[in-house]
Amino acid sequence: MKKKKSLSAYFYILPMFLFFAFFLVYPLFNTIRISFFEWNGIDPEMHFVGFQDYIDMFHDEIFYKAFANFAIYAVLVIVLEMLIGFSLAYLMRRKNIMFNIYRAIIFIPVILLPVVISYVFTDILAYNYGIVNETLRALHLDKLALDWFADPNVALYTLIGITVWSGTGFAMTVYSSSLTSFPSELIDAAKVDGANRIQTVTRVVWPLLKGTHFSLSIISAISALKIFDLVFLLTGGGPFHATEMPSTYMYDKAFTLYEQGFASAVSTIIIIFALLVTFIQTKLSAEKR
Amino acid sequence: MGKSKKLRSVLMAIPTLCFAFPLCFLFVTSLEKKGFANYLFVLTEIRVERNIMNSLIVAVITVLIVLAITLPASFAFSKMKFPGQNILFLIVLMAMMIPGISIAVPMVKIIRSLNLVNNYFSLILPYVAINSPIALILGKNFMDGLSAELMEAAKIDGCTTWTSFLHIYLPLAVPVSSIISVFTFLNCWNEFVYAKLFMQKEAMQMVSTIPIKFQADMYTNIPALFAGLVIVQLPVLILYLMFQNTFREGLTAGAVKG
Repeated sequence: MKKKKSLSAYFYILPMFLFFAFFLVYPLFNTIRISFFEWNGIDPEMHFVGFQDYIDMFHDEIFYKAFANFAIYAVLVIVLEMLIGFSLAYLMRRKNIMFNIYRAIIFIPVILLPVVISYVFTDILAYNYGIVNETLRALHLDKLALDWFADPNVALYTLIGITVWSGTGFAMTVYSSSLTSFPSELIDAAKVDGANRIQTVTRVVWPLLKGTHFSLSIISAISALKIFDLVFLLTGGGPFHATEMPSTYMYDKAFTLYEQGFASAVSTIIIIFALLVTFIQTKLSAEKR
Repeated sequence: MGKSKKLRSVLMAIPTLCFAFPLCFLFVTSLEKKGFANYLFVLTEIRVERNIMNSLIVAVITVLIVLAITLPASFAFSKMKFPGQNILFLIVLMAMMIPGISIAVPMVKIIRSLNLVNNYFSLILPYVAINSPIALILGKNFMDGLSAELMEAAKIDGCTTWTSFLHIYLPLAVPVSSIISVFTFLNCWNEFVYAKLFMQKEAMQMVSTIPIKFQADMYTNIPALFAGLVIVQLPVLILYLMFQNTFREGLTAGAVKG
């Protein structure tokens, strides 16, 4: 069918692009612009400083700590969510009413409010009175009763654990959908060829879900970049920056210290990083097809 | 086969319980000490219903606006041809990558200059902008699946492009509309950063930020605090249990490809 090139289409897209322009594009360019200034967010005057904000930022060791934390966080969260999510989806691939109930329950953490998650876990993992530590002590496993939030060596992994808890349901649901459209003849063929269960999964099923792996990892990477709520509420980036993320780092600079020029420089880096990561991942997924 | 099925059903209960534990703990603890009196206490002392109402208003209006502006745009991108089509779509795709917090600084400036602090629209407008990209992508994909011949047939019958959109494609877009509604609603309800930055008056606060007074009052009264958390979480939880499939489809729609 021939489509005439028409300009009336612009009317259809105009409202959306107006919102887009005012509340996404304009703030985006402003972030980049403000990063070249020194500003406390309140004065009507901003003080131009060129690249000074960026120079200060690259000399700040907390900046590097935030990105290092982020790297560990993102990799572990994505890998764990995908592995556990896939395992759950695969183990529950057959039709079974109980499985439907289980899947429904496992998905619930995905939709919970960050406030709710943080208060519940702050209580459960409280060092002195939290139920986890109390249970461990009752079982004489005192050494395992760690200071989940206040120990700088542990805090990041606590955060990772909580994130995985809240996100695995998502990965599982995606894999479940992909598995329902999975051709079972391939599994049967593999069995005929003598493959045992583990080989069937690792050599046949997993590789054929490549498309799903990539879309899921891209979406998880983008979500990881946006992480702020849970970190802010659970640890605020502490203790001693052990859980500092680029987003909490930026938030502190912007709204606690009111160094909004500096904060904008951090934001710009976060945005560039986000675009890079997505670009690389899309390239990888396009090539591998 | 029957035996192993039962075994599997029981075994899989173990990971399920791990995932369910924190939420169960929440419910059980909220009933400690005074039982349901905790809930009554929260409802009378802290006026949580105001938060719920605020979040509801913001979320519903955002969903309506998002649908109103992205469905025509989806239609245009899918069924019409216009200059710059591909570039504009690419720009929308890239916009999805931008974390809301990274544009928070200028956003505060904009909202202040528009005098919208403590106004519902201080949240509605950014939320619409942030949720539109993915709504557009899902909408366009959906429309791509609808045949263009429907429009041709309509035009033979005398319809214009607009009326064929309104009377044919729009009614057919109910599935994708419910998906868009679900995740937009959820994103608005759970959004934390802007809600914290723009709604400072206690009466205007959102469910996701819960007044500081609430936290301070309840700090030593954990069952009451948990009762409050249950109350604010309940609306979305009930919606989820009622519309499970729509929720799960809606939220994972972007990822199920390949």
